[in-house]
Amino acid sequence: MKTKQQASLCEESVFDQVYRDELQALYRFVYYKCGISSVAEDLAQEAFIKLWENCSKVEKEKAKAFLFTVARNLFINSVNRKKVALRFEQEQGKTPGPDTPSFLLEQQEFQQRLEKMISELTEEQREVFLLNRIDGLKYREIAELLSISQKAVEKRMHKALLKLRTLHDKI
Amino acid sequence: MKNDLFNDETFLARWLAQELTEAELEQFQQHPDFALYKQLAEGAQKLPKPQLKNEGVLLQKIKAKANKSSNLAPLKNTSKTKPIVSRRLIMGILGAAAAALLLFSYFNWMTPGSTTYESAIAEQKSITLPDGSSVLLNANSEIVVPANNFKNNREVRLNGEAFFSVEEGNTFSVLTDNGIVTVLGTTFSVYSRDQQASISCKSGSVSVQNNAGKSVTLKAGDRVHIINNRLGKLTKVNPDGIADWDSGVSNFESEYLSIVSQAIENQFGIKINLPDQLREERYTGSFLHQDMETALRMVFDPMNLKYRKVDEKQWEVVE
Repeated sequence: MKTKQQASLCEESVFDQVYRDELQALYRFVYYKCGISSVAEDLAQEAFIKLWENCSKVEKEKAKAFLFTVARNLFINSVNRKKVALRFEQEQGKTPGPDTPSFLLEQQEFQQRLEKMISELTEEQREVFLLNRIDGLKYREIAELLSISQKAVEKRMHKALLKLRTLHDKI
Repeated sequence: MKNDLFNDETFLARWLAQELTEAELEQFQQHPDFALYKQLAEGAQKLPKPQLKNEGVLLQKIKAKANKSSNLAPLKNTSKTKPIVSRRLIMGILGAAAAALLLFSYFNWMTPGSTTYESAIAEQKSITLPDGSSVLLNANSEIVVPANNFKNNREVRLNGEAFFSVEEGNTFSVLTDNGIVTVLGTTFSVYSRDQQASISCKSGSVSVQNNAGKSVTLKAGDRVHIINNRLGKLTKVNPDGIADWDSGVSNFESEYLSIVSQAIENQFGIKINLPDQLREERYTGSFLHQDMETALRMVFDPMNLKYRKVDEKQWEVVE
């Protein structure tokens, strides 16, 4: 077992750097699954605690994979896995004013409908779709995070879009 | 055409990744739903990015918890999510409490801290406090009432004379330059000017503390003085006579002449020069509020004291 790394995670500055780099992504990763920000925060927190406790066993380069794996496993085991409507935080100043041009109104309305549609996706479809669309991750990167094949990611992505297309006529 | 496109299980994924061949793309662009797919995919890119806000705080929590659990079970790696949730709840409650506190202090800073009520010479003023207690201010007096949270912190500052009718509740305090009067729910009168105070309890009981920290408890009909910071002995008075100055008469029962004389000053806006050796003479009786010269006569004549006018605003008492 390697205990002495060039940049050990047990060094606080190294750990803090990983924390700054990965926290938000990890948080979103769980958030896309369940849509509950408090659960996402808890699991991200727990994953970093695990990382800190195991700092001597995890190489810095593997920290990200470690974090996402822990978070994923925690999520699977958590009681909150029931389907919950994903709701994006509505803090973008969405309330349209009287002067808002009609094309903007339509656009805002579309975004709101889109959020509803996305919350109707399956958990697998949604996480892949949002990791790609919002976080801008490549399929290969998503595959690594989820420990699945890139092909599986692409299939989920394809299905997600088809489902959204269908939902578009209903919602 | 539609089937050709979508029988491929990854077609749309490859389209988004710009991995379609030119021929495939061209074909897709002819598709009736192409514009809609584009709108969906691009719309999703514009969705707000969920953000965790308290990064720094969370890092501290992580380290605190990690250190704690590694102390308890070194290198052991058990996964527990439940305690986190409950701890989280507690943190939430603490957070809410902290926020409430912050908000509370914010309001304290933002609003005027207190309201001051003043009565002019010869004026009496009735005030109802936020807790339902009432105060009757006698002439030329001033009372300061905090604007916030009065029900939980019943504290008023008095300079002058007032009669209190206190609703039951938390401790009610009257702060004066001469001492503090504390009650639970009662009626009492406080007179405090310059270096002298007279406190009478009409019903219930009150506690009186001078600035030196000495205190005494008054029951109905008890009166105590604080003269030059010295807490006097309890004296008995008729409870019915306490603070009936609201009826146009001021009544005194073996009261210090200095206090009686001061009461006249404040009622009529004059100055009475009272020789020092007469200050502790006791007066029992009353004076009417209607007329100054009648009042002077009612107080000083029975005591065989002579008085004369120095000028419009000043009178002098001589033996």
